[in-house]
Amino acid sequence: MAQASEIDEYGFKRCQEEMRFIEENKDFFTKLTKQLMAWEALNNRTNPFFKSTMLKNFIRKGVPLNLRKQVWLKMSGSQRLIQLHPNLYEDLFRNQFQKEIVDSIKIDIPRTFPDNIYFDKYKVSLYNVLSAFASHNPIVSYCQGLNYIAGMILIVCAGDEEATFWLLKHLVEIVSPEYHTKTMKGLKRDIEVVTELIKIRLPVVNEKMNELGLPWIVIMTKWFICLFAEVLPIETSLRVWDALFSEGYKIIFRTSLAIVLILKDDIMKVEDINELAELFRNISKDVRFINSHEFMKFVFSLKLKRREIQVLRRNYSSIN
Amino acid sequence: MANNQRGGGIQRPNGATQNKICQFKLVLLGESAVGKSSLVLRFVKGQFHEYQESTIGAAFLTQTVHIEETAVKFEIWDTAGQERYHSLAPMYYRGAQAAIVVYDIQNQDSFVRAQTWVKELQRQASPNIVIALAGNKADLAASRAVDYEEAKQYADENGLLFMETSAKTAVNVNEIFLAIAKKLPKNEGTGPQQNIRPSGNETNRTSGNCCSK
Repeated sequence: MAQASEIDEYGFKRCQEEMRFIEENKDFFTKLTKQLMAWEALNNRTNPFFKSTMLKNFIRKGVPLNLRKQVWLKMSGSQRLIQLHPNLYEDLFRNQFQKEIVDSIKIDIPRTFPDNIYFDKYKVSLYNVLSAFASHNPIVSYCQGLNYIAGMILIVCAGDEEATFWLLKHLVEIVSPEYHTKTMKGLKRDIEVVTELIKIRLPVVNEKMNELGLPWIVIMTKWFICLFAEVLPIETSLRVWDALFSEGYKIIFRTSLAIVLILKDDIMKVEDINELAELFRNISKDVRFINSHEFMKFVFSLKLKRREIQVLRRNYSSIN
Repeated sequence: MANNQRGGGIQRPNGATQNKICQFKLVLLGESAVGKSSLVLRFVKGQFHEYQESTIGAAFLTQTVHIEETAVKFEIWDTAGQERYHSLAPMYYRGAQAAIVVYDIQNQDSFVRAQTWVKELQRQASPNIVIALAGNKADLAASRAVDYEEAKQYADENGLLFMETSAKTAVNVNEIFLAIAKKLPKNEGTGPQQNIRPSGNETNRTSGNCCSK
């Protein structure tokens, strides 16, 4: 069998842990192939991505890269919005963008995925999408972190700016409302909600975190702002996004809880704040997260009701 | 890989009984893209990346420098520079014993922003916080927009340590951390601010002195 490539299909360098995982888990790829065939069969139907429980379950098992753009556009409702507003994206370029905002975007373009071997060709598009979005949504404007979200979507959509714009808009405005605004009100509220969920489910872990003196918000700001891009391994973060586009915001809470639950024994063993930070920093190299099938299975197995989140959100909505 | 002695100072053989270990919390603040993360990366790992990824929220690292008999361990909190992350900043500088406020010598606005950070720290952070001002990207002095003298004068008037640094060439990077380490109180029982840990919702706790023999 051929050795795994050191560069993944998205242009990112694989870490040693991922290389080892690939070497040792051939059945993981048998699964992938099977799944690809099932999707091909689905795609050949007359109305392949008709919203249904079957489709939802298909998506939970992961969307193949070549169908991701199509499935994301369909599930998020962006496809319909593009049809309704076919010129919206283009028209945004008729206006002069605000210099100060454009300058802050320009700073981040070369800093986005500098090690990705394909990303150079997407840099102009990234600039276009972020500037257009900032002008379209002045309340969010540009928030650092959106460069990673838009960058990942561009890679998945092979540089399709319009699709990227609409998918970014969906994630920022619908899935993570007020996370990226100037007040970051939604971000602070939802991190309080996750903290409460952890307190209820894992009181000991929460106490340990308090004892070490690292508030959850310090760890989780990046998780929430980037929607796990640059946090989880690439393939795993895209699997999370498959579910985010298909099932919505609840997946953010499920994913956060899953990460903490998986790391709970390690957190309890940690002796100081340094080891703790190291533990969270290494999520992208940890085989428990690299194995995207197992991780997603765990995410979906968690018992978490939309209602529980809604009640907690209401309790914390007055903060800040 | 991290070489704990790289921070400068005098190397001590292990097992010297008089060695003390002090731990301090240090926070980096400053406008976006002035080089906060690059300074940390240079100091902690001796590396430099031309395009350092932007920090979202905050990053946390540690490094130790040695001053005579004392090992000074820095808990470094590197923060996001964009203005909207500002409301999270108090959580990072709360309980910090030291801060490096960074600006880019090519960017006057970033110097103005640095002064705002200094004011905020003087008003809101621990009263005995040691603040250093770093004029970074000193290797790009050809396109300088902030005078050395102007910054030096500002620093003197406000009781700040001051150096122009370059994360790229390593100039003054270890030196600024070392200067801070020297200025921090290392005697036992020097005050209640020692080793205060940040914490989310509750009030600060103290956990004894910074030093242990």
